[in-house]
Amino acid sequence: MKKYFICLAALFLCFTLCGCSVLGEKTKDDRNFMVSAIGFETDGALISVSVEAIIINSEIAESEPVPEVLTATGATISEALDSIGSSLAKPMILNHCGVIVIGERMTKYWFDKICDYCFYENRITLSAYMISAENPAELLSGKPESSVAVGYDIMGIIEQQSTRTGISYNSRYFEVEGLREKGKKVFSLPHFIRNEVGISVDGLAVFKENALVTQLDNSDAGLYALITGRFNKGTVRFGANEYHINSRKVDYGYSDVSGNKILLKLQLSGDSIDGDVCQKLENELESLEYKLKLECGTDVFGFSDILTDRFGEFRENHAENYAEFYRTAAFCAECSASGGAKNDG
Amino acid sequence: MTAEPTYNKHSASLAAIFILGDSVIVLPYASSGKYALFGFALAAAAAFILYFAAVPIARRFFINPQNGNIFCKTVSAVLLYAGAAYALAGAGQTFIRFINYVDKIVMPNSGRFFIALIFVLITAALATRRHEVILKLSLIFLVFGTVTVLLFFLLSAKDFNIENISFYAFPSFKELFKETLPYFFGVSLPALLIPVFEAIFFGRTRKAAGFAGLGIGLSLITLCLLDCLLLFGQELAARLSYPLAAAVSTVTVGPLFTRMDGVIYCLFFATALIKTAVCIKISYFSLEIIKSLKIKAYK
Repeated sequence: MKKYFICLAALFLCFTLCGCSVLGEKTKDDRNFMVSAIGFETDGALISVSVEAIIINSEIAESEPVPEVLTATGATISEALDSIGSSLAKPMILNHCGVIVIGERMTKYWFDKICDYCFYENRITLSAYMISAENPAELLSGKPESSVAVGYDIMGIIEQQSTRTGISYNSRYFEVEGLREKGKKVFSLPHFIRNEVGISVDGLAVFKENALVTQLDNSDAGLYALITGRFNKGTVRFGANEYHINSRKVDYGYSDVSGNKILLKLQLSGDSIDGDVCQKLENELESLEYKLKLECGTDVFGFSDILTDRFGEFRENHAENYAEFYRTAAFCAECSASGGAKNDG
Repeated sequence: MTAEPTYNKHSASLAAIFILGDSVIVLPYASSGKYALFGFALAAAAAFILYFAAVPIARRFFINPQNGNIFCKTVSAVLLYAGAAYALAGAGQTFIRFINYVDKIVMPNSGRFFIALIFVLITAALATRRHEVILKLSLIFLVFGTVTVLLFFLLSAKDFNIENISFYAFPSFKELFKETLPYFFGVSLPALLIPVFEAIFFGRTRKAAGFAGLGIGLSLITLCLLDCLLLFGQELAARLSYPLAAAVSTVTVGPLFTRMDGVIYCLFFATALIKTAVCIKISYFSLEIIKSLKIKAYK
């Protein structure tokens, strides 16, 4: 008797696994809206949300997935997304969102809100890439080159570019949010543009305290990555030449004995990396630091975060008035080739 | 004549799964700070100490307590009550954590009552079976759990950032104490129930099996904790409600496997089920032993 009862119960439960489908015309137009990328821009007061939704018709095998960019504005992110959703026959599927695009006019307030929204919205995966673009809606529009959506193209470009240039963009949502949670003030996102040939990375957008402070082109981005320790293995370009770096070790120091100084010690190994190249690289790194210090008037490399973590004395003596310390600090780069003589330049 | 099965491997598996329990769902705890790894290491050491301290006590007061003198019987009764209460609290906590997880992450649009009912029915069914059923399931679940944890650790390795667990100064005693406390209650104290289960259901304690199981369980938790900390950093991992599930959601294997969260759902279900069922059994049979002090809980 017990066995029959168990069988009946199991059979009953099996039926709950099948949805009750209504046959007819309705199922022939079973479209789903899978979001591949989501973009945010603001005018300060309102937030404009753009989603690249891939329209998939699961019932008609011949129909190709079609990406479409939908945009709405609202006082909150949820309001904007609801506004987009209200024009669709089915809910948007956010679980495969691969890219979060931040517009250049993003404010600190809205950046915080965006990060909080992505954190609490369980459907948006933590591994979505965050990127910067002048106009998110414009970037996401257009025909995808090699995949079904521009968002997935962007993911592929970031991975390819990272391998080629050696820059660790560290711009996935959990990486950016991890830095913010640790109290780090500076982070960078790959900056994308759309031109006649399609979309491409044209450098790095550097953020400080959640606001965009400067944009670097690809050449400066490589040098910036060397300074901030975000360079693994790849090609860096300075002057008229390119150099392939196989490995690098980076260390930081400071001095406040006779004048303030921030020290960067780089040990590189790679093809054609020798004393002369190291000398040139030192000059390039120091020039970049000087240029950005003049341009932005603030530390855009995150030296404050690095030195405060590593040196208790620095934390005690300079954390409070770091702005003043940095303003008067000279930046010295010491570069040496692994296995070669140290360059004292 | 066939020899009686010893269930040594199964006991070790049960101990490992029991320690994983609900800790694997929520570690690192929300109160974790910069020195979470230090706190966990101390708590893991404490787990071993508590286990070895509990073995002789379980042997003395949980096996045949009716044969002791009035003092021993009194101590047995007190310890059995304490064990039953702690086991029941453990079952409740595991149940709530798992249901919250399923409600928030796995099935957010389904009613919580429906989810809880299914889990309660399955746990009750398992708890009413003989303890050999739990032991055999534990062995299967441990193999699955070990493969899962190792696999996700290795797949996440490319995204690890060693800076996330770097430290440039040792914690003070106060910081260390604050870090260790939640891990002590969540990871170390449940080790006390392992010899209790063995004593009640086997009539003897299995020190070697329990020690091996405890070691395996703590090693798996260490891998889970490292996975979360190396990926997210200590601050973000503490902020996440279900860090390991979040860590697994970042793992992709080529274009084919982009969301492998389903595997971790199964792991959480297995560990929560075993821990809840074992705690309910301990609680029930402890009270039965107290009631009569004559009932043999094992065959």
